[in-house]
Amino acid sequence: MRMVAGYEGGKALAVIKYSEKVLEHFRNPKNIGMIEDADGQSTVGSPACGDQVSMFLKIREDRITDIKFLSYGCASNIATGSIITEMAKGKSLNEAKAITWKNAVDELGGLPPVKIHCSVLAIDGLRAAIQDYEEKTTGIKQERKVDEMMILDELKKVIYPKNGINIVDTNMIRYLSFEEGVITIEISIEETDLFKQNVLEEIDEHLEVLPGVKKIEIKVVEY
Amino acid sequence: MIYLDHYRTTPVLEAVVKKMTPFLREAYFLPESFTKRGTEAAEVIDQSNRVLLDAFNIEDGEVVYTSGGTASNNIVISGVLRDVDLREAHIVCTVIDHPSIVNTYEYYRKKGASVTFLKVDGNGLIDPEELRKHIQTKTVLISLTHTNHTIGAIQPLEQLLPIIKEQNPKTRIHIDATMSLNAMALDLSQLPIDFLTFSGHKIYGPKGVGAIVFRKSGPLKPILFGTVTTSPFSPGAENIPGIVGLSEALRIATAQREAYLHKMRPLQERTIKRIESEIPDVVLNGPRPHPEGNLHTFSVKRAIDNINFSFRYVEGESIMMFLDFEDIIVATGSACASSDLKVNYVLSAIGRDHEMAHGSLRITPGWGNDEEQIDQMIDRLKPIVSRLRAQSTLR
Repeated sequence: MRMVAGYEGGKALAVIKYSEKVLEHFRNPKNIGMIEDADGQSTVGSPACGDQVSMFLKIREDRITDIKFLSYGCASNIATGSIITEMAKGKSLNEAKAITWKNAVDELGGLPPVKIHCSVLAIDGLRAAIQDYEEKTTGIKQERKVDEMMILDELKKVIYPKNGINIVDTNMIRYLSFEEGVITIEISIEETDLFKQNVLEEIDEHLEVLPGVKKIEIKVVEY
Repeated sequence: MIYLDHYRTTPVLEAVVKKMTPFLREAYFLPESFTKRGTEAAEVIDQSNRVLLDAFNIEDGEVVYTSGGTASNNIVISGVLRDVDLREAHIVCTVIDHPSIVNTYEYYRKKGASVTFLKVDGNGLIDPEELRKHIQTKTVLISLTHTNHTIGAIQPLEQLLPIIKEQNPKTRIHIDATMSLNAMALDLSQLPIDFLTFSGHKIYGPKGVGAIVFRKSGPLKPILFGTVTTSPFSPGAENIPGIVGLSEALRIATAQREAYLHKMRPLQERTIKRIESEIPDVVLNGPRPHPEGNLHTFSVKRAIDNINFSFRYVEGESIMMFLDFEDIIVATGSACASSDLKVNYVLSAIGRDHEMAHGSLRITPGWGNDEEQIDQMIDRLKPIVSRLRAQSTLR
């Protein structure tokens, strides 16, 4: 029931510890709450996968003047929400959009690899809230047509907990196609990999929400 | 510190440390034939064996010492299956057994054995008729965890075991009693148990030692090889300080059971009563303790020292950490707090959805706790839960 990191051959199992900064943001999160008359807002994640984050933005002249968040999640989820809202406050929309998951993790003094999923969610939430605002103000739905590039972009949000790098850059995606609503993916991951199920579920979560996707077929290959 | 995680591990009793210490220092010898000190060491193991066999009321039994509950379960399962043709073998456990059983069964399923993982009801209990259906002529082994490590559900062995023997007298019965022994006696003269396994550190004994108690006729085959001095099933140097500590801890647990029950009962009652009346949207996981239940019979369905609650709309790792900041130690079934981010399988098996399992706390009192500590824990828990709920996206 306690947190133990994934086993790496030859290395002893390490007990996960949060940095002081993570603990501080978890204990006393900044910008927690909601904004009733938000200009842009989002809710990402789901209770079923363990975390959910809501973001609320007040925007004046393309600048974030106020930002708040709510979190159903673990310490790293709450801490990342706190740090990201701090980082985004006062920034222009373009600057805020450029904040990456890595920026946030660095700012927090690092996060255990297994906790990356929770921290990516807050970034997704910020971007989705900005998009919500932009769509509302321009009246233009920023919906890109789903294509293989877009699927690849989504897969880049799935982090492989063992190395903290997304599954695309970890070179785990061996094949990808999108035809008549069916996404077919071949992913290279070992049968015994501790994170296999976790990675597969996350791929599903990211892809099933894309418009026009009827079916996701994931084949696990071991090469 | 308020320690409420005794299902994880317990401190070693002073009396046990005292008993062990000489065997770390002056009496550090290993069993050996013909020498004075070597035979003395062998006698120490014999005496420990006697304590274990007495505790389980079995005259003609064998004892194997291991490195703990996990090793005991592995040695039994693999030892029974060693010379069996796996393609012809059927083995049975439940979906909520301890990982040292479930994962070992899963390994043998992959190796070709036919395996039944028995389902449990919403309280974590096996349906006797379901069990009857699944014991076949080729069922060689059944493993059952007597007291569940997460929700404290107690399988009614006096009802279940005769069914197994009726269906197939040759099926070997393995009971993991690791979580039971502080509160309950298991009488092997009454119960047809072939292998009983347990661990030292859950009964206020040392870590790194456990045991298997079984009938002489048991069909166990060794799976570890080396120098055999006292038992073919545990070759190599004997952990004599650990063995002495284990048997002393079991002797004390057996002698103190009555006192333990009387100590735990008000702690469990108070925890459940206060949480249910003072914190909204909570669900007790596992069977409800029977208010009039006779503590000495198997009609009790929930362990006296286990409390497990789900707190809706909040995640358990956060609650656990906030309590930890206050030096109050509990455990959670949240996926966030597990190494593989998987939701707790016991809570899933009793029908709790992901959200409910994420928000679960396991509170397990022990000898060191009193009602005042329970009150302090709940007084701290209340604002933590309301605060996390106030900042939650849910509700």
